[in-house]
Amino acid sequence: MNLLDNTINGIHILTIDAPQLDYAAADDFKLGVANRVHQGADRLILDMTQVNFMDSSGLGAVVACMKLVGDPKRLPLCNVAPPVLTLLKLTRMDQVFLVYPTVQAAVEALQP
Amino acid sequence: MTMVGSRIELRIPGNHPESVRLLGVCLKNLSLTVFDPQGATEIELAMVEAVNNSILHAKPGASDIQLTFTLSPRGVEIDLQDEGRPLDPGILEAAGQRWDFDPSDIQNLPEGGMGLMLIKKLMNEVSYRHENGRNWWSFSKFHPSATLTQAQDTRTTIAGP
Repeated sequence: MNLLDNTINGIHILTIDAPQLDYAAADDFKLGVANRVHQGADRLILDMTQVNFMDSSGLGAVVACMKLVGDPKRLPLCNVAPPVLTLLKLTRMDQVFLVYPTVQAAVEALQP
Repeated sequence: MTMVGSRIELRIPGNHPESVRLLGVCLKNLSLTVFDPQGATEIELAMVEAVNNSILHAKPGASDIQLTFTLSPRGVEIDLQDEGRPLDPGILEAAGQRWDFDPSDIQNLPEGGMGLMLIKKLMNEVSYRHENGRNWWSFSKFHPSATLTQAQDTRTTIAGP
């Protein structure tokens, strides 16, 4: 599980560089996000452009990261593929996460 | 992999979670011969959850997980066998019934316990039994054109040893 880093207006953009976030990748993902948070990233955007599949283990990992940052406004999701959105809706996690169509839309929404 | 008519048999190593992704893609593409992309995606997710569950409950040294995928006029039928620890007979019936959380209570959000609930939501029939030291699962998803009496809701069947 590779995570790509970028910063826009002080917001840490984290792009999942893999087509899936699943049971096999969940622990690596959690560790990667935790490392960024511990290094001081307090506002993140999770760019899921490349992710076309996520299972409940992957979703559990994203939830764990949300607990780490503690606020949906500090870990919004963007570029979420329809199968991933379906999973969010089936589990009602769409009521937890802020979802934006693009990185730019998420950045604009996070501006003070 | 063995292919007989409209039936395909697959063996998945229980100690290799990375192979589950390949299985999911394979089953999705097979399902596309009968279902639209949404239906095929639902089968993919349900079966990935089922095999993940088998891997989670695998005993050391257990043999491969066996999966049989059958295309039928009414949709797909999938049978799964593994040598993992037996599940609590009530777990399938209970899955999803207590899925309740406050979306604003971030620290108490559930991180697990979603797999069986998802399978029940995504498939029309789910059954489980433990017999002769093996877990036996059966899943069916009906094509939307199947009769309403078949596709009304998810039916679960649980049988003891």
